[in-house]
Amino acid sequence: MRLAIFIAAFALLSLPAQAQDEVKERHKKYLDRAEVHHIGDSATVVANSPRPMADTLMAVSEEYGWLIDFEDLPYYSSYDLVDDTDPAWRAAHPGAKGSTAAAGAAFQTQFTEIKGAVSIPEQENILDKIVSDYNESSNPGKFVVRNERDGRFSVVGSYVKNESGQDEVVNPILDTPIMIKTETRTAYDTLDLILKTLSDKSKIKVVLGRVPSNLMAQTRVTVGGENISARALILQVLSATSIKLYWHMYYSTDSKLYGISFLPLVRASYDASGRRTAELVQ
Amino acid sequence: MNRSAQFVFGLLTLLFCCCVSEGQCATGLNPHFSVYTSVTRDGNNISTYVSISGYTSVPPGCVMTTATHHVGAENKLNNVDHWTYSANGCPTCYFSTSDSEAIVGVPGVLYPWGWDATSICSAVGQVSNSGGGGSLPGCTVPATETTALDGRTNTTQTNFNQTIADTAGDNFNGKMLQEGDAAPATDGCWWPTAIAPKVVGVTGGPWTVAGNNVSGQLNHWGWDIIGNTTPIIDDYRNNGPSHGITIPCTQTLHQKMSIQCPSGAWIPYTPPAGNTITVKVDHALVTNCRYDMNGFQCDPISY
Repeated sequence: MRLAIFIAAFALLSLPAQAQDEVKERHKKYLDRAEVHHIGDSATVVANSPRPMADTLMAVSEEYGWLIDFEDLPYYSSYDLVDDTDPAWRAAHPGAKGSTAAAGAAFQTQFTEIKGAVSIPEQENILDKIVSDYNESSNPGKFVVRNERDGRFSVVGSYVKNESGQDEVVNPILDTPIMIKTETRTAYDTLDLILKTLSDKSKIKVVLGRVPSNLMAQTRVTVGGENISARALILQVLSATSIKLYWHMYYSTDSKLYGISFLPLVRASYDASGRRTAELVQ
Repeated sequence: MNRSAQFVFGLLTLLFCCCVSEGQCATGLNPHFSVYTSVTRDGNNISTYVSISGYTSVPPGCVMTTATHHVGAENKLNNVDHWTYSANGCPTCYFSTSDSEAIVGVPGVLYPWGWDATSICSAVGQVSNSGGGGSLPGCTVPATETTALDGRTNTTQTNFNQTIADTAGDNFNGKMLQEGDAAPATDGCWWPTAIAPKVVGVTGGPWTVAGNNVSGQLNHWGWDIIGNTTPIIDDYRNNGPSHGITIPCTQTLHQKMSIQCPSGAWIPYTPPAGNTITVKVDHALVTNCRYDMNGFQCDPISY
């Protein structure tokens, strides 16, 4: 009996330590960015992060100079989340709630590369293959590819797991119809207004993340309308900028809000020693 | 020492020390020369410079009693050739010469430049030689840039207003500027589930001198808006520490500024290390700094 009590007590005491080790081990495996490897006529993308879908798409975008928007999912269940509390912080705050992260980890996809110019349908086929591979992996969430026309694609979250482990449909928040007054403003102010209006309408906070502030403050746009999706209004703003931009919208499982960042489209190039640089795609 | 002994000693000296003639020394000469070249553009002027200095070591057994050495520097700017030579001297003497040329460049024109630096021995010919060159754009580029604070955008981003100049007092109004990365950025505030991607570099600009937010201000460009949006700062402070981020945290970028010539070419005008941009996020203070070619400005913001 004493031995049983001792084992039970030891197990309870060692649980937080195990969880802390898991956090450390998981972080060690994360890749700074997804990698694209070219072997023969195929490309393999390798990602490892809490958001492997986002990282994979960013790597593909930068490798080929493709416009691919990404919209994350509002994960909430224990099937989609993991504890991500820093061990040192946990030790200093033993009673505090801590942090969570999407339960994403390793992901790999492979597709046939097309030599020369890649047509829009060929891009779409490749993105369909990547997203299909992701949806079959054990990573959280399911996504769909949307052709937004003019060479732009969106990969949009469509399902999360609920607390029963069942798939639950998610309506993309940027599809929410909103109304903003048609006026000439800076692109920066217009995006800010769209997101504030969207937050009010959807009751889910969507905030401005990273933006090319110089470009956005200089560019003046006349955008507005009634019963238009937030996505359509954002696309109108981006069509007026002199640099091609795409967005990545991430969900914070800590703050329960979306942050949308607008990023300049770049294309990676490699020198003879393999050193990577990225140049703006005009 | 008697005469016969002196004769034998002299014969041995000749046999052992004078076994290689001057003309046969070519493969044994060892040149130790430094060659320096530079191109500077100040306003409309293009200046090129070539110099060579050093000496030649002569191997033991190689006697060069009549040979002389000298060095030469060629500076061929816009197809006009100039050679400058040092005076002649002994084979192991130290030599130095240089040549400077300058022209007034027309924006949009590419000027050919070639240079050569050589050391020459009167007995064996050329001892060392190196050369190179390229095309130089005849385009005015700023020599200085200074930064001033000019308000804020959305509470936590600083508007920086820059003035560019050169000693010729050129007017840069209407010229296009863009930014690039002189070195990779570092982001000490980011973790893998932050609400915004990691800072990996600057975002490109672009700006028109005396346009955009500094319209009508001679040789000003801007704003260069630096800093994070308030939601990002909130995320760093509220969620960063439990993910292992220490507050205060700092992001550092290395901004390479370039000006566009009429030919369309972009010419960098900042030093190779670029301007340094830092963004520090503390518990109740955000500090955005811009360190330019000539100084710096910081904007501490209570937020």
